[in-house]
Amino acid sequence: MKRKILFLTAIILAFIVSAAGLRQAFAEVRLANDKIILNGTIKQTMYYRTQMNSAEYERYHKTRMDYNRFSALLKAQFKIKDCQEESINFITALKYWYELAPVYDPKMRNGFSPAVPSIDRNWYTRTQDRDYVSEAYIDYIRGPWNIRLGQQIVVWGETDIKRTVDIINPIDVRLGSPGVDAWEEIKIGLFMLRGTYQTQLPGNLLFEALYIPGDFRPARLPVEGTHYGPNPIVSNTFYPYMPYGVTTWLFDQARKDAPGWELKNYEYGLRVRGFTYNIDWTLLYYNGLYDAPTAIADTLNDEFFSNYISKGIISSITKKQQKLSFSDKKCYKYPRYSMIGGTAQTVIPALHDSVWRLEWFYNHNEPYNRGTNADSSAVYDDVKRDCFGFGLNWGDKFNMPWTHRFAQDKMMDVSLTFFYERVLNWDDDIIIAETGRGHRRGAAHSSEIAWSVQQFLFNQQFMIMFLGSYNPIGKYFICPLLSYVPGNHWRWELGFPTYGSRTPSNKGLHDKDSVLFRVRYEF
Amino acid sequence: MSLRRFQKNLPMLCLTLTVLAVLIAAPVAVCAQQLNFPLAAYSDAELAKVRDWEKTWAGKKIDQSNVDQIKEYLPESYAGVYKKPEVWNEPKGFWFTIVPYKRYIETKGMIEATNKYYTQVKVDASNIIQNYGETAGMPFPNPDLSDPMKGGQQLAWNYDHNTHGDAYHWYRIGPALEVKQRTERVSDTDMYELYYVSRVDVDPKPNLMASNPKGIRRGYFLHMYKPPEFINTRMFNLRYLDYNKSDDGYMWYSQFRRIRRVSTAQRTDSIDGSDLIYDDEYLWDGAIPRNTYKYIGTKDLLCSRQQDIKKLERVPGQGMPNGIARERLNTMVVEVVSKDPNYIYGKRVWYLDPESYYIQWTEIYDQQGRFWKCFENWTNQFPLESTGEMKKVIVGTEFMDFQRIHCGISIQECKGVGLKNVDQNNFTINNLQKGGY
Repeated sequence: MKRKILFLTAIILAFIVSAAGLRQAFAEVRLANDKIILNGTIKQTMYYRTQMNSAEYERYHKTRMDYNRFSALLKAQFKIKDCQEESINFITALKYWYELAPVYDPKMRNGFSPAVPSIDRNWYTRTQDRDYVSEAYIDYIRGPWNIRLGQQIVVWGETDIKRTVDIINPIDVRLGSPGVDAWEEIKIGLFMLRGTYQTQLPGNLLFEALYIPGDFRPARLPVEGTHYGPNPIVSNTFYPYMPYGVTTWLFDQARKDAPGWELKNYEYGLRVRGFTYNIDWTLLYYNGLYDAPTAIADTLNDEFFSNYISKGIISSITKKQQKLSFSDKKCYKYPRYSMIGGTAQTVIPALHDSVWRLEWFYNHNEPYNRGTNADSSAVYDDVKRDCFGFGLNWGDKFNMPWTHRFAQDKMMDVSLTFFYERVLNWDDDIIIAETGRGHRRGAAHSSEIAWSVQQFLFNQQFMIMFLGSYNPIGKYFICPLLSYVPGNHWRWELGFPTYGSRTPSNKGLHDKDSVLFRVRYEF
Repeated sequence: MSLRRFQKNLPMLCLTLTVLAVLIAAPVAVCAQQLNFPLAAYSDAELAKVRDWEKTWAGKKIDQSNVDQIKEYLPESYAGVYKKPEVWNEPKGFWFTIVPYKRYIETKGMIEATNKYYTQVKVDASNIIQNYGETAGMPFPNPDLSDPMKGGQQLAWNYDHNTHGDAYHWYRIGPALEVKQRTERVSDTDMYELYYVSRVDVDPKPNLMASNPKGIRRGYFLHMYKPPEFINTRMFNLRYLDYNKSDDGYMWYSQFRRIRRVSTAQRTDSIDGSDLIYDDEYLWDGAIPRNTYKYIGTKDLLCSRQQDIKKLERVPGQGMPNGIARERLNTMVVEVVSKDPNYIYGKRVWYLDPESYYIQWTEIYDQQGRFWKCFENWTNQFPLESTGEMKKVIVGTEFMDFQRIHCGISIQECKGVGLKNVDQNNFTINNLQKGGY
């Protein structure tokens, strides 16, 4: 109770200060005659679950607030040389986060088989090792050349939420998701050499190339029992004698098998940007390792049985707690594949001057596992397939008749995106439904629409937003959001993300409807 | 004999006299036309009266106590702001000073270009310039004010042909204020403007490029440093000679880390919490043929034309700075109505400086005809980098929304005018890409 009072007091105090005080402040810190420029964000994000299985709540939670993260991002630009002919900068972005939910909720962490496995608790709750550095690179500009060397985050796509061709950096969705959090927080930086060259050729062609000398970092998936992760097991014969569930064992084994930094894991990409017939376009090629793991079926099945299932059986017979282990053999691989793709964007005056954006890709040799009837628990081998897809986005602004008084006729922003993808040479055993790509089990294709409607009010002090997506397999996400920005630095947000799914094999966050509360201080 | 000889030579003599008369009269006639440009705000007689008035008022501080005595020289709305500062949550009140009127004479380049090109300006029956971008200087140095519609349109074209020294760099600090809370959201922006055609002050003149196949009239680049969510966001905008063609706009939005093409056609959308719409830059920033114009007459107003921004005094949360220096100016009043029946504003009223063709004041009405906003430009003169002559540019603007009691300020530090080396690469995607961190 004391903790709750302190916590609430701190939030209320911050709100009062932001809404009524601190009138003069500086957006960024400039030091040494503007040679060092610092800016960043401090953020507290909370989710209060309005939907939770009662048995899960009873066993694993003392509070419905199962996500409460403090995070900070500090970006710095060091101007080493800055003159007309050339400039050299050192750019760095440092990040830190701490997830408080398992700290203040003992039921999430205590016991032999808690909601959040102890094996992963430190890994996901706080920044560790290289994660402190989001980016750190040297930037050199001279004439038409721009060369960057170091750990970087690259954005190649045009659409916002889905990463259609924006695939250079892997993503970390343990504690965030695209669209809700900034790319610096979601994407994992990779060491690379990247260069652009502006030509004088027709269409103002701009060439870009990047080379990653084997710095492979796999995508990071949410931890079991956490807000974004799979739900903890409520009733199972293995429990309470096993320290964690199947998902944790599989995910952790896959992470353990990730190859790390080796020269043979090189990745490279090429992109050309141009302008033709009033269309801004890019064409791109990428060759690298797949960020998500593919199971080596025989090894995984054996090792999973010996390291996990067998101990589960023993535990259910002996009723004794079991210590689990991981295999020393490689159970997962991260195969190489390639992609060609492109983007296009234009304004169409005939269609209310709306902006249209297109992304398309063709993946060659994309890896998939196969399982009996596409069941991920019955994996028998892996295959490579080609896959193509696209995202088409329409964005426009409208003057709403009722906004004169409250919004000084500020226009309403509307955006609608349609996604589609299809795996070629389809096989009904290909496991894809659980990958989060929106496929129905056994279906070669998936499609989805995503939208956002945004209206600012009272000179942009307030913003209401309505985000969402719908997949015809019956999966949806809807989120109304209210934002309040009193002045330069503080941003308060209240939202209600709701999820649903009619498809058992592709449930996503179907029972994680929550109230989102987020406060940010930007400088 | 001599009479006969005289009679014989009479035609020759007449011819000689005629030629002499023409030779003497022609320069006088040309000079007479040239003398009307640049225009002066006051005739000698009017100026004498102004000087008399200044004997009483110049140097005086105007505040709540004495604003009534000069209110005829302020827009009614602003006189009210000084009279009732409590409405704008300013308990200490606002004040400004009166300075003597100082005539502004356009740059030599502008005068020469006007004299050279104004006869070449071609208009259609609707007074729309047909060879837009092919001339420079003021297209109508002696606007025909006998016809209000034609005169209004010609004044608007003159406004449009002020190229702000051809290449201008300024740093804008722009707080948007919540009057009731006295909080503000500040934007800091570095801005460049470069004219590709109709140049008068910086070589090459009148065209920047020998060939301009895209028909670019003006480039505009901005780099944002505040508010924090827009740090390092950069944008450029290209305006075209084709009246019907929308601008091309590209933005590097640092939070998305992408170069986004932005629709620039929605020019009535308000800008980031301010009281401005995109058309309000400079107090009008759109194609001239989009509106109808009507010359109403003249109005003597106190205008800020010699504003040293360092002398402005303001504490955070204050809706309008104190220390604005205003002088009498006989402005030309033009009523501006959009041809788009759904346009956000019902009408604007411009108060034009006849010497520089800047809009000093504008009053804005909503679609129901209710008074809505009043904006004031502050100008000052700075030496052109190209010639050293003094050129008048905008150094700040006050934006007030009288319906919602909300306001904003733009204080613009002139970093250079008439610049010789504004890089055209500023207006390219490559430039956005290069600085995108």
